Amino acid sequence: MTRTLTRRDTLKAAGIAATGTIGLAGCLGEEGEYPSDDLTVIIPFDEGGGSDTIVRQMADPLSEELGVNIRPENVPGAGSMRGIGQLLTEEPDGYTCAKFNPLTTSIQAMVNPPDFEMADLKGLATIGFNAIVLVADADEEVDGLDGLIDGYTDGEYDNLGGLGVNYLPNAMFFKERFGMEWSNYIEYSGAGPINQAVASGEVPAAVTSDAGAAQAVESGDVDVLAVLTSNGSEVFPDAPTVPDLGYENMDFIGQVTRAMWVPPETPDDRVETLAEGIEAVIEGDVMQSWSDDTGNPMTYGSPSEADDVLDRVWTEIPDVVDIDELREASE
Amino acid sequence: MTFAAFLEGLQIAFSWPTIGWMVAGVLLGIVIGAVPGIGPNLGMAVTLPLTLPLGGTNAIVLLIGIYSGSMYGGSIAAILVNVPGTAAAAATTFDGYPLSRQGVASMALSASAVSSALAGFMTVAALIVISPLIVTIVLAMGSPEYFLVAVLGLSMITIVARGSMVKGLVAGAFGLMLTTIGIAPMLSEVRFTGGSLALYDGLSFVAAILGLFAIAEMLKLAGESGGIAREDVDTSGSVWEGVREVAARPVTVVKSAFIGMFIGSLPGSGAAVSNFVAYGEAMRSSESDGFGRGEIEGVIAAEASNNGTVGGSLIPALSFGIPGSGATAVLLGGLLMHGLQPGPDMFDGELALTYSLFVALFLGNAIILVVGLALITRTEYLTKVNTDYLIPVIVVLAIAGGFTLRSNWADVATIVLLGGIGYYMFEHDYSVIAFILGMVLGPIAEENFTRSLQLSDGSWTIFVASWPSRLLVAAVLVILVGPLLKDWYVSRGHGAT
Repeated sequence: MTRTLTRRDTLKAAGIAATGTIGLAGCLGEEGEYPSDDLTVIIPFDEGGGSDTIVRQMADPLSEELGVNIRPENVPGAGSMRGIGQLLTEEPDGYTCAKFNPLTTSIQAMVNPPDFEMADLKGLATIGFNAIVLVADADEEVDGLDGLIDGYTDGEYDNLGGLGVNYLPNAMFFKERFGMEWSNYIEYSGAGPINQAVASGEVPAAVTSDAGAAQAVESGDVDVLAVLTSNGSEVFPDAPTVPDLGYENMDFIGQVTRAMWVPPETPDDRVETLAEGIEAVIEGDVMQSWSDDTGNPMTYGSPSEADDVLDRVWTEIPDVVDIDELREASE
Repeated sequence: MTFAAFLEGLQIAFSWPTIGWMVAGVLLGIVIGAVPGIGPNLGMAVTLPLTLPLGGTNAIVLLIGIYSGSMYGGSIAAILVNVPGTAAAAATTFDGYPLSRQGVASMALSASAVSSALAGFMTVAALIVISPLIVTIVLAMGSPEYFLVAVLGLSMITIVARGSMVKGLVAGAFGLMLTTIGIAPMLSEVRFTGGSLALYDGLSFVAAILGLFAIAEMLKLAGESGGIAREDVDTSGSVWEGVREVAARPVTVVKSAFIGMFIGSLPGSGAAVSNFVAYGEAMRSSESDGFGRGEIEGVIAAEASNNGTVGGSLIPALSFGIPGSGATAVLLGGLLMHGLQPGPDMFDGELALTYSLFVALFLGNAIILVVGLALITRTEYLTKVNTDYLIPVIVVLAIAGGFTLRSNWADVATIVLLGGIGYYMFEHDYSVIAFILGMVLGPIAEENFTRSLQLSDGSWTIFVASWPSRLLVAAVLVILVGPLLKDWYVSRGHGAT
């Protein structure tokens, strides 16, 4: 006796087949090769900025290296806190990471605390750094860092400029440890406006990044007085570092480390796979020739190095700079 | 040296494939500008990684082409359906759209193309001439001057708010108040966010514009039947009529183009500000009282100014790496991506490259003229489509466009809320222009005001310390006090005829 399949039987069979397929897909996802899906890189800044440029530059070679598409996603706003907040809520499956530097974003979080812990982030890689430098108006012919400090003491100079609240800890460190008596810290919104403000004499000196100051220094409008990290600057290899000049080491806030991050709980083996891909890309021809062209040093550091940088920022800054004072100074 | 660099720049701009990338950029820009919510920032950002295989010059020429094309493209939807494709075309809606309602959209579209292109030609030519002086000019401007330019724009409220002055000031103040939402510029104080990170950067004025114009207008149209062009008018406007209208107003074109160039050269403002200031100035100096009801001079002023802004915004961008607007920020990203460092050297050692960009921009305006007159004027057809079909498309485009601005749902909420508020503002004669001026200029004014007073340690004399500042203060006084003095003079019998 043959039995024809009823509509209900057919649906049931289809349902079992579908469940089987999903189950199998799940198994493949667990056991299969990683990565097998697009990798989203959150950029917590606008299109066209420094972080955006680097991620988009890395996208093609990283895609070739990992064998999956790379999707840069700009989530700007709230001084990078929106993008970081989004990363922290993503699934820790190794398919989402973010690119931002831990120093200035942490300072933003210290001044305006968000409702999440930045220190929870898991390091993926460090991919380069930029030294922070102290520059002065070339027309002032300032006699080095000593001359600048004397100028503030004598009342010849009053204000000191810098990039937003980001470099305020540097300015406060100058005041507390070097005796630089600036009266107002003037915030600017980028390296370009800082160059213009210093070159035009709106402020006599400012704290800025070495790459940001490069063109204004080259054209002779602005002078570099000191590099704030003892590692020196690749952009200004001849410029003296703060310790060279006999001042206290300030490495913890003297350089901006470019780094990539994943959500906490991301499995270590996936972090390792991604980090290997990033290492190959950073040390590859595309990024190295871009680095040479633009003066942005690109060097790879392991996930644990990224973790270390973040830890140091959160333990050392509050040790040296009173966060309440920092918040007050920015208001 | 300068002339040799200019010749070299000409050679680069006319070489193949550079000229081809310029054409492609302008065409793409027109489309990007015409679709509400995309705009030059997003369009250029999406194109940025695709330029990697191109050489530095070709890539930058392509991006500048998109920027320039989108400035003109923004006027298309502004005129046809009251939806400014970009913030730079917001003032174009004031008279462009009423002209469409009157059935002469093609005349308005051709006037827009001609005034855009002419302004582009003039300002780029001026840019080439003043190139050797640009760094000096940029260094003469600082925070106090930027603040005064914002005040100059705000003082335009008294001109553009026709009818009740109190309602105009209330609308402007409402716009200013909304800009206080988010992290205060220069001060790390979080205001009126309710703890939501989505509001930390404040409301987007592009979203506000999409709400006030697109949604409010669609609400209004929903109560009518037929197409946008009213059925009781004949659609007789011709392309050549638009050309003639522009030719008859050379002063407006020149003035608006250079207002655009000047404002574009100031960081932070860009075409979103210049189109209002040029529109306000056209209104102030014109005898006509038809502004806001289909005065072609309003379209010409707004469109000449936004294309003039492109050349102006390249001044701080190339000389000091200062983005005058979101679009130039992406352009700077493009320069960096291709290993070109913006800085004073762009007007010294790299002058030939800079000239090639200017020449390419000049050529781009010729393309705007041809495409604008030959093809875009045909889109007049849209004004005859039944609004039953048009309204859902525009509402979806506006809301989707709003979300793409910053991937932030707060922008979608802004569009919907201000769409409703905009409808009632229109119904009760509150000036939408005054509102937008307050919203666009509030952050620029606040940031530079705070910084100026920090620099001077609280002394207000910083606002009259330099010649550019004094000139700007005088311009503000002329706008604010001038009409009162004129009335007083006339009332004393001196002006009676």
